[in-house]
Amino acid sequence: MIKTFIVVLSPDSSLTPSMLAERAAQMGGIDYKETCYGLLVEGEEDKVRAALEEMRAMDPKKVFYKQRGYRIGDERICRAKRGGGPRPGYHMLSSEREVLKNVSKALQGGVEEIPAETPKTKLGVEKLRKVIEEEGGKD
Amino acid sequence: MGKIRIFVDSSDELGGQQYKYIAEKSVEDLGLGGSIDSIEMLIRVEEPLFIIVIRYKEVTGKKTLGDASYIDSRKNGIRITLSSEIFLGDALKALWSKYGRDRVEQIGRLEIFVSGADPEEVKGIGLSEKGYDLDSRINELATRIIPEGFRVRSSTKKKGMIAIIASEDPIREDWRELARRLEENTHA
Repeated sequence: MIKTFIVVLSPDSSLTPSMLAERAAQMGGIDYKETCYGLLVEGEEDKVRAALEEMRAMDPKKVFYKQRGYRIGDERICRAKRGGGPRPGYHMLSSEREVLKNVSKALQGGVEEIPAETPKTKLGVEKLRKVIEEEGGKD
Repeated sequence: MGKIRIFVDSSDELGGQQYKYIAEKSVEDLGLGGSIDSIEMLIRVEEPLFIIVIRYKEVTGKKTLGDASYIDSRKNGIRITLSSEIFLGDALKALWSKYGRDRVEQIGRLEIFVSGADPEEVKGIGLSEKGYDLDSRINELATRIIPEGFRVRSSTKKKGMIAIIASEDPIREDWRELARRLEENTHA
């Protein structure tokens, strides 16, 4: 069954969409379209999955993919055919892409431990007096 | 550059000639002269469609200079005759780092002279760590030739052959048929 996938590069990846396209061409037997954020890949599911794994192997923690509901150049969402307008689904993809940096950091295990919050306590009289004195005030 | 057959079937004659020139220059720039058998292009500007079929000699397992060349002793040194132009860059790099630029001289398109070197030692010099990746170079060649804006592409890879259909629009079935016919023509 023909399936289409979106491949998105994390913004901090050293790869470029054209490098992904080159790998897709080397695999053969699939259709692909280079985009600004990565690649659209289409073809028989087993071939596409194999190509996706190859691409992911190029930078395992920074190449992401998900299935796309429309085929490459689908007229229902094609701006050229619809007479312009916003790119359907792009705002979502754009916001998802923004968080990929953090996702890849988490996958690399580089997340710093969050220090525990210090419990709130009441200000002691002595400490309050000291503060007032330091500020030049009087009792 | 070896004898590379470049065929262009274009609906725009002048454009077709230009693409033939681009293909020739790209082969030259990438030093692939000895590896390519033929390049066939089908250009239909009105569709828009660009099909390229590249046939090449597959090169594998050439990890040392001894594998990739014929070495014979001369009076004051040795003469290395490479089996293909594609090894030239790696061979010169390896020889320069071992013997220095003063002792290494390229005397022909495929020939290098190294003064005062031992043939056995030269045979064992490694060309590159992972061997020569011709596939990637052929792919780069195709990418250089295909028009930049034709971003929707479909590739077919067989032994010693790569065919890429490129367009601005989704790839149509009749275009795939054209590409298949082109693959057969090149083979004949």
